[in-house]
Amino acid sequence: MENRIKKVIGSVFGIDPATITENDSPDSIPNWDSLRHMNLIVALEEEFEIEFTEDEIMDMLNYKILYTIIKEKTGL
Amino acid sequence: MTYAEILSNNQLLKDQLIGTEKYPIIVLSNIIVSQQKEILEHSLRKHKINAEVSFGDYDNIVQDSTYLLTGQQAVIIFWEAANFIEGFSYKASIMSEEQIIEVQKKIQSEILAVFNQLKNVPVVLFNTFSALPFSSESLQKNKLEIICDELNYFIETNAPTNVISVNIDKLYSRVSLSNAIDWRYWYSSKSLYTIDFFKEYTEFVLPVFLSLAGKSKKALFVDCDNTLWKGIIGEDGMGGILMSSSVKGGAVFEEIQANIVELARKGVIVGLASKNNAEDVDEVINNHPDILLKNENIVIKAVNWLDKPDNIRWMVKELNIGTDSCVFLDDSDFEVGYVKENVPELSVYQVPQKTYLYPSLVRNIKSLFYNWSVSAEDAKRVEMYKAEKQRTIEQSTFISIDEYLDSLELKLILYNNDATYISRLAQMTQKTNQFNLTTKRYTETEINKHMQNGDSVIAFELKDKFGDYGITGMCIITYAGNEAVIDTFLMSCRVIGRNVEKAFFDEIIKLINKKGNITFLRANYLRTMKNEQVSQFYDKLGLSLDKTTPSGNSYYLIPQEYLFNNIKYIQIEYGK
Repeated sequence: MENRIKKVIGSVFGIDPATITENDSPDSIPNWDSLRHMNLIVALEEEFEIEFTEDEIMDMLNYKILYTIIKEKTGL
Repeated sequence: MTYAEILSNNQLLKDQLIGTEKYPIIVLSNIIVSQQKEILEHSLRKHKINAEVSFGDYDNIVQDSTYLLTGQQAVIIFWEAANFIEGFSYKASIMSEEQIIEVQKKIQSEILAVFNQLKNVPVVLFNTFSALPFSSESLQKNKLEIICDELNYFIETNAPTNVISVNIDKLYSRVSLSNAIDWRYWYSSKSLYTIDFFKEYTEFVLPVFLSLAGKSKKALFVDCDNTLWKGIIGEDGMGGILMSSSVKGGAVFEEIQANIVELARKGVIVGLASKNNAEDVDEVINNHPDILLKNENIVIKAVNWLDKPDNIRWMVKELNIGTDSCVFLDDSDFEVGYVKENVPELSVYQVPQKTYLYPSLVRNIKSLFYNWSVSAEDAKRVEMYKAEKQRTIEQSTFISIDEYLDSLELKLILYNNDATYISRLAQMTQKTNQFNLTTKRYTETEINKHMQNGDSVIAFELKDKFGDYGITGMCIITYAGNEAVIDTFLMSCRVIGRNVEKAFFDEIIKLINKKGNITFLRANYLRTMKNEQVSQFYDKLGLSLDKTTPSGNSYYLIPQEYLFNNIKYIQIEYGK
């Protein structure tokens, strides 16, 4: 699952998935702005066939939280 | 294909197309449609059109249509009626009739201005206005629906020939409303549409781009038995095959033939590709009482017992066209599979088992042959009756960008060291990325400190006749002896394109000059990933360049020598 998440993040922000670490956030990835955050959310939702709540969307501003929320939602 | 896959594939296609001519498209919108970019690029790049999609500023359709368009091959306009003014989707229902008329007039003159300003762009895709997401399922129309209907009629009757209106309601019906709209982002980010919507939108408008690039389909090769008529001529004979709505089982085939005749009349090359005795098929074409597709509609025939792939290759060669510009239609599993296998560039379609679905398939196939010049021809007919209207329109409603801005009745209200707005000001320094000269981030305490220690913290509020944009810009000036420094100068994206920044800067200089002792002003542009758009800001205002470094530029100005912009259509006021 981790690979799938990183692959999506990589394609949304145009970076190599292998370089993504668990501390990554908008501070470390320059392309991670508010518009692309929206793109990331819809891409993840499509990939895992889930839907995030508004609160989750606002919380998901670093890789660790993002991973935890997706894990919780998918049960994978 | 998922959105993430589209994003990575799009990057690959981009690399493959390096060196080919770019095809710039700009999207102007009053809502956020950022996901349209890669989805459209991807689809066009798959067809070897090296599209580069960019966006105008948020909610700046009229202004951007004057400024941004050099070299653009196409403009796409997402103009959401619900956001004509903030909250219009619900405010429309409680506004007075006069207010509604006022808004409608404004939009109409804006539409005409946009049409006029875009007249040299090869093609403009103008989405129709729709109230569908914002209307209840009630029989009664709401105000927004009525306004949309009227404005769509206005577009239909005033659009120049380079404008194609894209019927958004048709898209809603293709995607379904619930799959087209994502309400989560509407209230927070003014983004309305889902990925599914953007994918479907792209498919919907693709024929326009293919046609412009000369990549529309040109020829249709059809089988005969159970494709043009029901039955097999070699077995059932003239009396046994069906193609008329007056006989049971024939109606579908009458409709199919009518569609093919229509294509032939529009210039599509129609060919027959049938395993049959040539004389039998000729007999049907020439003498069957119900036949609609006549010899005059058929350009080429390959009716024999040879392999279909060979026959198709022969026709392609005879016609001297590309295989990828041809479409093949047949009922047989075997032939469809065999041709697909052997002529992979060909677009192949199979007659559905459920024949009642056959006409809708053919209607969809017709869109592959979409030809922009035909539509332009059609439009010419409308042109004459429009010409008469044109005169009145140009006299009464044509406006230049300055007149347009003038009509907005812009009012700029300045607040100097007003503690009321501290939290908003801190928030703006935190959140503003694009129109921000120095991108210094401040807390409320720090803003307060600036106010207390004699610096000038000036905020502005912008209003126009349709409403209040709120506190949307600010500037911090620090002083040391005879020198002043612009520490911060920023503005919200929402108010770009109205020359507010120039009027604001004028006022700042006036304020500095009022101090009496300031003879030298310094200002900096500090480069970030996101503030390229203001890199020339101080140059444009006439400040002198002092130093250029990779991290930005520094400027100076003798404030007494500043040339004021004097923007006459912005009224200045001072808050308490």
